[in-house]
Amino acid sequence: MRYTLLMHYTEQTPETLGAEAMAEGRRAMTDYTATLQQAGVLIAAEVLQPSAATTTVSRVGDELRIQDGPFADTKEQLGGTFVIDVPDLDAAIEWAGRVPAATWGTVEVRPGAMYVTDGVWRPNA
Amino acid sequence: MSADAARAVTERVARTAYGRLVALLAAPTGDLALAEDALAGAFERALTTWPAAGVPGNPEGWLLTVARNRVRDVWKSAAHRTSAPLDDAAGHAAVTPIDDLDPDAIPDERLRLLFVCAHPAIDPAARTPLMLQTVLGFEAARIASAFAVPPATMAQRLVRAKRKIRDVRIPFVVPGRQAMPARLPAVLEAVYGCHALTWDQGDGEAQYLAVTLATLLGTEPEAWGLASLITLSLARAAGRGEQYVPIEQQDPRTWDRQLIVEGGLFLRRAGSGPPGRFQLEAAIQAVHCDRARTGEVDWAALRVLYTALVHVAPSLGSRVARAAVTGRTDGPAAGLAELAELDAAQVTSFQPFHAVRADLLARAKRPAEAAEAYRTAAALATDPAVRDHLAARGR
Repeated sequence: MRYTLLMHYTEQTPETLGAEAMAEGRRAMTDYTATLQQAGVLIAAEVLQPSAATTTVSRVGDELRIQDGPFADTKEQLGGTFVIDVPDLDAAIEWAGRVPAATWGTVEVRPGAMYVTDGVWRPNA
Repeated sequence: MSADAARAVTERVARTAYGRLVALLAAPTGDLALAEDALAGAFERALTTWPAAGVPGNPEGWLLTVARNRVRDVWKSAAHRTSAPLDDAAGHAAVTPIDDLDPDAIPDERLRLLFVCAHPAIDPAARTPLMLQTVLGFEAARIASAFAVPPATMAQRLVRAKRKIRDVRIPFVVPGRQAMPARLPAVLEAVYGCHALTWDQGDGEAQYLAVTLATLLGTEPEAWGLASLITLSLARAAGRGEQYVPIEQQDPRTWDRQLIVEGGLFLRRAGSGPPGRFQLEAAIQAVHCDRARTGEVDWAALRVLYTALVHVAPSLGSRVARAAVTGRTDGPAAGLAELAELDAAQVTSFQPFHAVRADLLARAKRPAEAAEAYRTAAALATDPAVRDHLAARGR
């Protein structure tokens, strides 16, 4: 069963956080990802650029609406995702609890409904 | 065999085996709604076949087989083949086979089901209702009335919880030693909720559940504490009449001695480690029940137990109850002083606070203030019997 771990946290820069803490955070992420890889449960992972880099797109009728900024302007922003394949929710919660971002933000655990391999949608199970 | 006799047997099996059968049927697929539907179908078929064919030698095994076949049929249906791969369901089933027809030979799955119902991913407001429905087989309408919510609201809450269990794949497992301390309190809390909602109906089903939980877990002190607490409070429910009577004025001859003995044994099984909330509450009940033997309330022992309870589980209720006991050990003025330390904003609408304060004021020979406090308490009471009792003292 695939679960996506969505990391939400207050965005920081090297200036606000300090270069050392930033490097420490990166190391923690590298270690965590290596652990996921070693356990054979890692499908994909991505850390996003700050929400300021977001462009929001929607289509209303024929018109393409393009806006600067994220859909929801909240204090905590979606910062990145891990997609893992584990047997059940308890296993997914266990991995979510070890995401470094869980200590400086929150991690949402969402089971996938469908996923694509070789261009074909398949049910998640 | 008559239809009535067949109905009597199915009702008996439903009472004793419902939760066991639901747990067995749901564990392989995680689909509680499907398990309940299949079991309901099996009971229905029993009611039509047993009067003519006779009750099978092993009614539980018969129901399990029929219901299991129904579950399989649904999984094999086209609808499920497209929404989830069958291989996976079969793989799950292989882990916990339900082919064995003798339910007594199969490990009890109810324990897993209890942990599923009280899983942290389940809405806390749905946990006790889920247990009442899936483990104890209560009708949704009865659960709704116990929670004083409209039946449609409760049905919706239950459906949503069951769907989540299935869709996010909450595993039917008992947490390991490491996770147990974090997971057990919610299960105990929900079982206690079952008791609080059903004890006045006097059928002892929550007590049965608590004892089953403690037995299956083996050595969890708080599980035995809960079993003891529920058993002892059930012992006193036996003599309850229409009118509300405070615990220290109840006639001990109306209490169920057998249950008092059992409750005491359960409390001893909890062991002698540092006691948790349920063990302390059980010990408090045990002190009250001991009046049946000694003829008097050991207020000093209650003072010690309530002080420990306030320390372990500092709730408004336990602090108010301790003040009442202090009023007996150290005089009403000391009890009133303890009440005065509580947060005024919190106690304004807390009925037990006003009831205890009224009693302490009466003991302190301040009748006018006592009468007023009784009236405040009566106005806040939700139970009509309690309201009448308080209003009568306020006159």
